[in-house]
Amino acid sequence: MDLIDGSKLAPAGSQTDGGRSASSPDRRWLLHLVWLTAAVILAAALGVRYGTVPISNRILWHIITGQKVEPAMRTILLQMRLPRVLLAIGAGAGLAASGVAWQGVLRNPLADPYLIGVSAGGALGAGMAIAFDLQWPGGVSAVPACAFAGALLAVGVVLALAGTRQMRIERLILAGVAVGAFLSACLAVLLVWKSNRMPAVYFWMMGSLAPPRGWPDLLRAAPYLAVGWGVLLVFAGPMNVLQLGPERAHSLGIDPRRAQLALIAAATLLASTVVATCGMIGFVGLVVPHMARMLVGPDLRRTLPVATLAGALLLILADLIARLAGEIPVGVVTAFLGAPFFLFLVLRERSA
Amino acid sequence: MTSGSSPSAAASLLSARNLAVGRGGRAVVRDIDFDLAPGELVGLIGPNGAGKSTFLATLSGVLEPVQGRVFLLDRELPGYRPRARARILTYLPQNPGEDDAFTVAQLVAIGRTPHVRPFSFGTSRSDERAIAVALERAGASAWADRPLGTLSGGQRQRVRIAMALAQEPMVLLADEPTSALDLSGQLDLMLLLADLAHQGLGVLAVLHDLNLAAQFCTRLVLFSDGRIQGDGPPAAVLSEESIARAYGVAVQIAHHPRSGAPYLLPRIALNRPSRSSRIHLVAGGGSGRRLIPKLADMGYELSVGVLDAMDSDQQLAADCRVPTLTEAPFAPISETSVRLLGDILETVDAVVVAPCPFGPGNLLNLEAIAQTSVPVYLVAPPTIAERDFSGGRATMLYEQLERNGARVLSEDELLARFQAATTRPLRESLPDEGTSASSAPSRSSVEPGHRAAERGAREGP
Repeated sequence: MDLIDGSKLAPAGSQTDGGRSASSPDRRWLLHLVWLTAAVILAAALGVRYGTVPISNRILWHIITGQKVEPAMRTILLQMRLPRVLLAIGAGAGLAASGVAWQGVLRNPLADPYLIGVSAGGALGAGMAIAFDLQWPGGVSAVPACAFAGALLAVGVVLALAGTRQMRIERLILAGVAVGAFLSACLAVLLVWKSNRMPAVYFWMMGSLAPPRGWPDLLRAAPYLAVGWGVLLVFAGPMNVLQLGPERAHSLGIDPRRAQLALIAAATLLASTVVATCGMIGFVGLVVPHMARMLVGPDLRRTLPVATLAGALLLILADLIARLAGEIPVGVVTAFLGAPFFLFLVLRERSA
Repeated sequence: MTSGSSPSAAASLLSARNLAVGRGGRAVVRDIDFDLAPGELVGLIGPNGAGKSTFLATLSGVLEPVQGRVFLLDRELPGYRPRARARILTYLPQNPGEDDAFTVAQLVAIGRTPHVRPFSFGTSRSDERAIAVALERAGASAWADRPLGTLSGGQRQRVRIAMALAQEPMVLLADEPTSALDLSGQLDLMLLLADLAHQGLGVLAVLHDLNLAAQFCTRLVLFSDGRIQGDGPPAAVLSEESIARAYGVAVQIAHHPRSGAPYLLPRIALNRPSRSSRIHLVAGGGSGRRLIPKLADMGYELSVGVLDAMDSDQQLAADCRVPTLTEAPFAPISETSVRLLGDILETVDAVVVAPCPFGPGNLLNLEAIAQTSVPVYLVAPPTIAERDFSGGRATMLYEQLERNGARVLSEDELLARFQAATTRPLRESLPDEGTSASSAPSRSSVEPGHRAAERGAREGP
């Protein structure tokens, strides 16, 4: 039987072929990492270079080499564009990595970082801060903090409802949908009541990387993003096993509950941080993990870094487009790019 | 260790003592005492919901026991660190649902998880070797580079086994490993499991196909009604009584002519209250390909047999949901089958004999019919002489049947008559053949006769 199958599907010498091609995906994976890194650097350079105010290559070079340039140019580049591009990198990477974790934990290709309450909770938190004009002493907006708290609270409620003693994926998703619907209703009531604030809330919900966001926001978000991403990297192995189902993972020596909780916590931290800082940028967390999977296959230990880079790349470019198109919300751009691609994935799946 | 409460390490890989298993603290099965020794292939059988999967999940440590203890080698199961346990015991749940894009080699490599350092990437040389060995043992080496999505169900299952073997376990627990496979896939997988047991693994598998389980397992454990109802060699565990009690189904236990393993044949069509007329058809070798579906479609309560279990008519009858009496493949008709056929013949209104070849293997059918008083219809052509491979004995039996009033009809004539008879209930429209032509106004419109009248007619003279 083996002989028949072997002769039909793998030509003679398939053993040696197997030995070679087993190592070639490794090389291909590293290759993907290399070109994606290069592309991110290039895109970042473009992101700093282009915008509503034209900056010539000469000025760019002068700034890099530390020569004297016009202070206004300097401010635009270092205080506005650079943090903005770095924020795009952080947010894109965070959303994509979070998406990989969700798809691994929930074993569902439709899972995305917003599925279990992050978006609805974040929106309600931000909506309340905007509607009531909440500020920290000293006039700093409380929107990010409220969005962050709202997102974490919503996920906490979902987890409590679904029960963490024995994680049941269906319950988690259903609880997420229910809590999301409830919080959205709350937000709707709030917006009807404070209808003059509706445009501001709506604009926030579409997501943006535009100023007034700057270095303070980036520096505030960075540690959370670093911790969340680090935890995902540490748990990449268990995450990869977990996609075979909790029972199989258990029999392979993984504590599925511990791994699930760690991954969910890290993915939630990443998504909540991005939502708090940039509002709701859709489709990155849903589509980029799929793209990464198409590039390097289903091994999540490889998908995670590739998706991280691809997410950063996508969001830098999307933000560049948003900027050049007259500051439309970047969430709109990602939706324009992501929705057709997602449709393409679905149709491809069906024809396969 | 107190004697009796813990197993001796040498004899048993995995054991349960006074175990009660269930989900959410409610016991589904209790008082389980179970041992799995190296080299054993144990089949866990029982009706749906009997707690087989729950038991397996408890033995693997996925579920905690409701009561009692599980020992792996010389230690209690909860005393193991997960990775240490995973190097001794592996468990294949029912629907693992791997991504189709995984290549076989990638998936089997995941089986090394308990052996590689946690949080490490890649595979070492010894891992590579273990993966190659696992693929080889599971007979999956040829597909190593193929994505899972291109494999058949049986090949996939082999890959899962290879992945489990990459853990280098001593115990393999598998939940319904054959349930989604076709016949060749099932046999293939059972052979693989038997082979692994032969190599020294202790294998425990939940199986639903009792015949498959009886053929391959060294031991069967029967779960039902919250208890272990039987534990021992297949022949000891599978009895007509135990199956009736556990499954609520009447079966006939035969024995495979070559392996001697018990073989289950469901008793169907017996003792079933009937409103329509009953016909028994003797067929085989494709001779029933028109008769079976037509008669079944007409609404007759049809039974077919005794057939070889691999006969094409057997498959056809199964497709038409017509109960059959079957014999193990290529075996002569057994005493039990003859007895069952006799039971059926007592309750039918007519017997139809299709133009099938008769040889020593199925001659007993004719002999059984010759001993009854049921109206018999012999379908010809081809004539019996053309298909008598029993050295003339079949022809003699045909002649005897004809002398006793059996009618010889072509297939079309027979179908037309039985079709006509469906307009009225068979029993009421008795044509009373064989008594007198005058009492049956239309001899030409002969319909299957009424057995009581027939008897009276025969006993009369």
